Amino acid sequence: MDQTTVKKSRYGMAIDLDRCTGCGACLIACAVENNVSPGQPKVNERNGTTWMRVFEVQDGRPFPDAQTAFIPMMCQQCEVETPCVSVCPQNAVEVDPETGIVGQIPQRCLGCRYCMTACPYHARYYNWWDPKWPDGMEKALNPDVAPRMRGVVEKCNFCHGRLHEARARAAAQGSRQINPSDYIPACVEACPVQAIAFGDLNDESTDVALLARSERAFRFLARLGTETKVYYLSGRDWVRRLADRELARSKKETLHG
Amino acid sequence: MPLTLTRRNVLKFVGGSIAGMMVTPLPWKLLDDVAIWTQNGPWIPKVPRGPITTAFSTCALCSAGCGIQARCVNTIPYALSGIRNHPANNGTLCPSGVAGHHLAYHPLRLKSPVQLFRREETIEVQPVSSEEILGKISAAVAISRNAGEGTLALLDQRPGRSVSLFYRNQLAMHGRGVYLVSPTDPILITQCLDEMVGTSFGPVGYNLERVRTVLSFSAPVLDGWGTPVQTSKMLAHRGSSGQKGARVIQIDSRYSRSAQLADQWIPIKPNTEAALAFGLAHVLLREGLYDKALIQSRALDFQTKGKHSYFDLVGRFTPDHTAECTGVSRDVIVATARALAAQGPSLVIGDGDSGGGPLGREAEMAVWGINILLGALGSNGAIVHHRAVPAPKEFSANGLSPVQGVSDIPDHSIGVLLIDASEQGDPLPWSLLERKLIPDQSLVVAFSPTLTGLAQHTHYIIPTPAHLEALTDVPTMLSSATGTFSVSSPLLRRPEGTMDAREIMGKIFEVEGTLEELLKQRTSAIFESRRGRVFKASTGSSVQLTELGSSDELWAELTAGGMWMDDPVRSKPLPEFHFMGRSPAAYERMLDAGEGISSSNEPDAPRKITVLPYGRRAEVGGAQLSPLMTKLYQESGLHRSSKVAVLNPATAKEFNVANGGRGTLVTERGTQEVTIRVDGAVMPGVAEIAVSPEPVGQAGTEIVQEQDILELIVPDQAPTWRAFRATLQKA
Amino acid sequence: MQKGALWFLSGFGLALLIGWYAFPQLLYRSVDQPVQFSHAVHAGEAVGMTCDGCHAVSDDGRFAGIPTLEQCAGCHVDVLGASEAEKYFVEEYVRQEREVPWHVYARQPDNAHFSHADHVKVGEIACERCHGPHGTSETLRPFEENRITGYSRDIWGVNISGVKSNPWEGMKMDDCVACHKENNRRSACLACHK
Repeated sequence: MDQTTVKKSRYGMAIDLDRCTGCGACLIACAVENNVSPGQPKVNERNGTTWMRVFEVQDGRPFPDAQTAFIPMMCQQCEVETPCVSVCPQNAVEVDPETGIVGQIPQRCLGCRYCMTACPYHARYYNWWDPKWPDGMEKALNPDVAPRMRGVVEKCNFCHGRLHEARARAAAQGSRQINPSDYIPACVEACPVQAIAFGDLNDESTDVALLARSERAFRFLARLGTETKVYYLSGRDWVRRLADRELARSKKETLHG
Repeated sequence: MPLTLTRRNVLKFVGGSIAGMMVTPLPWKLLDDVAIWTQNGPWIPKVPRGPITTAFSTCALCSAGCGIQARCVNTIPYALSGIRNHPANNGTLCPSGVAGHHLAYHPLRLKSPVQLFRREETIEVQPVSSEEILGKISAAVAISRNAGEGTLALLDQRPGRSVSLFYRNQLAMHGRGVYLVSPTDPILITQCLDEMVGTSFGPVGYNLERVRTVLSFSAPVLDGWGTPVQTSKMLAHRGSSGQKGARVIQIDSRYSRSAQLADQWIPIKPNTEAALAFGLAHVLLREGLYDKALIQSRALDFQTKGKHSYFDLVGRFTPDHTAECTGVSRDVIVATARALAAQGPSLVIGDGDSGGGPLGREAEMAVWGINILLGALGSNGAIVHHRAVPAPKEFSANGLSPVQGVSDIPDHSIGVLLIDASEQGDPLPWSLLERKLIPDQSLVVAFSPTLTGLAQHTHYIIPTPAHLEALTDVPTMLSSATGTFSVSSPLLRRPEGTMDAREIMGKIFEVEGTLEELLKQRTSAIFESRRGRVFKASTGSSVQLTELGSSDELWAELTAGGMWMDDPVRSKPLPEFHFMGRSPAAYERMLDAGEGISSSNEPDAPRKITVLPYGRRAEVGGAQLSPLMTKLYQESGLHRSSKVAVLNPATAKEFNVANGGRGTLVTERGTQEVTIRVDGAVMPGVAEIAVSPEPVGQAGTEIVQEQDILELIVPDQAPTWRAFRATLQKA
Repeated sequence: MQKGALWFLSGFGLALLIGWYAFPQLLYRSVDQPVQFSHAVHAGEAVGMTCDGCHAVSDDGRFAGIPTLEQCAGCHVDVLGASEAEKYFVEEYVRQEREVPWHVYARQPDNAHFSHADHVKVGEIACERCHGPHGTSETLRPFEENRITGYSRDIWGVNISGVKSNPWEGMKMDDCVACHKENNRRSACLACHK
């Protein structure tokens, strides 16, 4: 069978911000799945590693009228002019044409962090420390994801290990097409209020494609034209207005400690 | 032709070697290998390789009883997810549950018994044998039994389990045994209802399916109070699902998660919930928004001649007066009461926050009072009766020691205190517990898998199996409409030196038997009742219990992620009751609770701030947090630890502290350093501080004592620790 | 010839000797497999097993690799033949229920993802294409471990120069990429890296 007969996918997500409760299950499920190591004693918000980070935002009105929303933020999987790809001197980042997933190869990365500066979403994280787990916990790491070394950048790849698993499962039946229910990222699976939908945006019938076309859907910093594949949903105007603002004013990429 | 060694010749030799080396694989292969070595050196942990399997169990971190599906490599779980269609969690998990398989690797994990020595800020441990500790306990137990010096108390951090019945049974037989639970435990909250009714009202739960409006008095209704399925249902009307959920009104002094997520947040002055409850009842009564005939026939203290009645009590709490007490505007009070009556069925929840402590007996009764007025407690209400989970006959009620809170027992009375901290539960400030002990003579021993939480205050710790190493049952959640039972079966092999709580207590009281036998007996009792349905993880659907062939078959389902759910029963009609309870000075006590001898009305000492502690279920009361929880606490700030105080900007200015700056909180009990976070949404005059300490991601060289905000509570100040006063200085 | 050239050439020659002969000797550590095993006997007429009798892809697409003790003990619950190796295997491993710590010739590093299901079932590539015709081997050759990387010598290929005389020699990324290119298969990094 020729490669061209394989259906091209554009994996994407739709996150309902009106449902998100800010519990953080997605954040932990992500770290468990992707072998992100626990923080060092001196770790903080600037030098920590969270492929998926949930930001708490408010509308700025004073007590008692303030409104809060939670925004889970991870790699937005920019489709065109992907900022991290174009700046990488090492060719360590690429957009997979078959899945639309932006891949980061830590072994190629030299740790210059140019991509972190380029990323409009602050969704990239630098490993300030070697990954370290408490005694004995290495035996409980996910065998499908390799730990990264100190000095490289890493980020969300829509739980690519699970895509490998889904492909292998399909291949065992002699098929190249995965069963969509076999490939669900860890954050989507864990969410207690089922606020995240995931699937192939090219397939009009998927929940995610449907939600992406909804009136409540928007994308962060859409004006940059990078055609991100993570959609957010909210009926609240003040939340939608955040889309054009920089969300994370983190200095993690420039300061250590 | 002799070869002469000259400088020139040596250089030629070296030159030749270099040139030769270039045409061998050595430099190129070496370069390649060294590059690979930098990627695979010993500093990068190797992932496990081996057969991948799936195992099922039930999460025991809280009483939601979520079904878990574990992916295992070499039989060791490496990732957990929820079981699809499970009645508690339908395929999802909370953050604590997702990382539950990490607790066995907690950096402060104990694998052999230790004696503790507390230093200034650290704890030193020395190994001892379990025989030595058990010997000491047995001797002390014998003294307390025979000589009558001090009682034997057992603090159960997770009441309601089968082993809890065993404890209560043994303590009852001991004669001077006291069975203690945390004051925030649901058992004590339903005890308030029993006090109103006069007899045991029987176990109750909440049928959230029936509810259109939920009024929560500081309960974390949208943040871990119910099961994930229940929370999801309550939030169903949000977003694009188009489904109907309940309208949630959150009364809270804190801008809690539930306040953030609720449809309406009513901020209230700390510790004035009772007044607001009376104020709401006032409006309901004044406007006739209740079943007059029913209340007049059932309530024995509604209107009584010559005695202060509930009507008199509530009569004092006019909307204006209530507004003055609580800081809630009179319009909001009136509108809320009307909404509860008009948009029924309504349910008022007074559960309190797990870390923040109980509302207090009187406030709880005031809340039950509104529920009665609204008809929530009765044949068609949202508060439903259910039956207790069947138990072996030997645990009949006569043979059980009563459930008590710390405020029920006298100071300096406990000779031996055993703390079952083998599972997470509700937190309890050590200061409240400490003054119940006979000073300098008591023996305190914890059964705990880790050196965290209350276990840090004990003399000895006997290590127990950690979460998912232990076999245990999961009791019914308060929010559940019917009784439920599930079993958390071990997914990991427990370390050699650990003993489960049943084994330890068996040795102390010299009773044969194992936990497994106990749970199997319970399972048989359930099977023989022939009631209820069983969720099977293997098929993702439920069947009638009677369809199962044997008790063993039920056991097999329950230990593999299954859950037993009792059949609903028709709620009994409302019996005769007292709105204010039956204590002699009921009216005065209720009035005091409403009018508030609380901090808000006392003349303010200068520069004091009201500290509002709070905690999340399964993250407090044991402080066993996965090392990965650093992601939520230190690395993202999504959850805040005991070291962060959140203040209104105006309050921060008043106390001269800045966002991100350091401050010191001081009470008579001690001081605590906190980082200040400024948040415009927070009520002025308060500091919101979480109970849980920061998670330990990596083990340090010494064990540092946990800094828990509850340590600052001055025990005599109030019966609860929902709000306490402290000075705040810039550090 | 000048005397100087002799100096140069002897240096050159020594370097060649070291680079081509001594270096591979030093670089690789040779370890014997814990148990001797004959593929020829198992796959031969007497027993008649096929490759996937032991090295099977499961339904979920995972490749079991080397069989577990449980699989071996399926037949070797007791000593069946007369060989010393089998006797040793049964006594030391089967009876004591210890897994055999086999050294895997084809082991890839943690960051490489390779799906046997994809290559064998969908790609229809024969086992021998990558693993060589070892189904007829009488003994297990010693496992040669690279002292620096810990990799098996098979990854680089037997020939230290990197020149390959058979298609199955070499299992480095370049070898994978060459075949993928030739057959127009997936080329994204994450297709094979994890």
